[in-house]
Amino acid sequence: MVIDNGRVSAGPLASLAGLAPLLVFSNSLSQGVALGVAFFLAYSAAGAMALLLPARLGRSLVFMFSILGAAVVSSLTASALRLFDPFLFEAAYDRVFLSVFTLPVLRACVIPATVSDRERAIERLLWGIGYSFLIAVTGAAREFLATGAVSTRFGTERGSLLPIFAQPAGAFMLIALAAAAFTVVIKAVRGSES
Amino acid sequence: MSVIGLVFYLTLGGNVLAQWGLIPSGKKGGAFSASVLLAFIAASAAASLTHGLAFRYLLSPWGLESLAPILFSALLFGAFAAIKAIGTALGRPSRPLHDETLFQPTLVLYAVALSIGSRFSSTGLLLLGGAAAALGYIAATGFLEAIMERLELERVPEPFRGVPLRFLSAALMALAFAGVDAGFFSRLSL
Amino acid sequence: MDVSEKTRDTWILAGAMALIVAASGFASSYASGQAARQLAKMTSEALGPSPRGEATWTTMREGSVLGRVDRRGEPAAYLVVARYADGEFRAAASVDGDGSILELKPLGDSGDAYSKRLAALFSGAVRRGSRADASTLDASLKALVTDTFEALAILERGRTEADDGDR
Repeated sequence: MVIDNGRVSAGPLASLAGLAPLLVFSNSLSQGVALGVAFFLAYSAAGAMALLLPARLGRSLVFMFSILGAAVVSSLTASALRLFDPFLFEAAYDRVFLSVFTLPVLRACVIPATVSDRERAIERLLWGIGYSFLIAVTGAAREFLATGAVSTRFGTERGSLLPIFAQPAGAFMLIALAAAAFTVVIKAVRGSES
Repeated sequence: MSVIGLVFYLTLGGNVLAQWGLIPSGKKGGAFSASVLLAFIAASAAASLTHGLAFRYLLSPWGLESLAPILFSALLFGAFAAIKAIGTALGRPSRPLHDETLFQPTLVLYAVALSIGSRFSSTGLLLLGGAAAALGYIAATGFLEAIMERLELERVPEPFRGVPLRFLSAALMALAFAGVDAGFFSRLSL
Repeated sequence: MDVSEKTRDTWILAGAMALIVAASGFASSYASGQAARQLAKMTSEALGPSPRGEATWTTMREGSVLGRVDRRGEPAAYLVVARYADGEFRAAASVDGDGSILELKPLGDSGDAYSKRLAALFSGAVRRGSRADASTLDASLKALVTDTFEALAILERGRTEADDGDR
């Protein structure tokens, strides 16, 4: 994490923009969990292939095979989702597919440039878990803010609290507020350390 | 809906930046030339057409919808190989596929292909919808960058500067687009 | 770097990937079959079971129309899934050969105001002439109802014309 001119500029906050397509669609707990799992599996497959494929193949081929690996995993996730709940599949399949081409997954497809980068595989895996958790939590939070309740079952009686949070604009606002709060916390922690 | 109505709808209410959360990173790489923008619009139309037709008439009838991301990857690699071959023939080196500057356009192309493919089935509407959606994305990106540039001059509270402000601006744009959509376009039949 | 070794590795990887893609295809096809069975059963049961018990599902994804259930000796049934900002409205519709809606049964209730209003609007549109109460939500939902009914009529007319052409 870099604090530059008082702004938190690198890493996690920049990744929020890359995750935005999934965060925007995640407006309920069930969709959040489905997208979180789909993202994590695609991200892990991409990262594992970029790490494990022989470097002699070259960066371009490793990148292509890693994307294909993530796409295959995403395809299997979508099939599992369809078996589990055909309606959820119909509502979410396009975002499940899109997760393969989100910026964090595409970055994970790039072969690590240095030995120290290769050794940070566990760190990248933890980031993947964190991103997935964020997608699921965003879904639950938006559902709660929009309806005043969180439910995994279709047909549960729901109210109306702040319906804007179910819409893309609400997702952007929530992300902005969370990012600003994150900046304040990080700066406070840094301030107390120095 | 008329052709003009469709273009306006995909530029405003159905804008992929607002509806799909395709927020550009904001790294300034210089203004894009008209030829690059035209190439992007053409690529978007071609991606919508090929992916839309393949999804509807090749994958869906056999229950193979889940193979869509593999299909798009194959299309992407094919298109990239063709561009590279043409570049080599003309003596112009092309960027490698793993160049990070190509990630956001790739994401946008796939989002447009999915969005338009699920909405239309005819060849003409797929082509036109793909081009209009790309045009809408370019316009919305321009608006967002202009807003961010203007906000640089304002006294924005420190924690909101940078990424949070970009998302807040996108939120207000999405709200405005949704307002136009609810007030006008949702009353028209697509 | 040994070029032949790289080529060999590439071909091995490409072959392995082709096998995995084929396996994904089988998984997708199986999931699609199971989902079709589930959706056909749900739609048929909502409209009353067919005396002959046979129901085949066709995925359509035309606007709000997700698919069609063909039941022997019965009018075709369509599954409607109308999406809005924070939910969806699901219904089974029985459609006559000329495209008119005979019956429309909501499949559950997502519990929010939009869903309730859509149920009222769809039911009101099926019982033509019976003017139900009005709501401020109607303005933004009416186009969705009209589009869905138009799509159902077009799809059913297209199907019957194709059937007549086959005979």
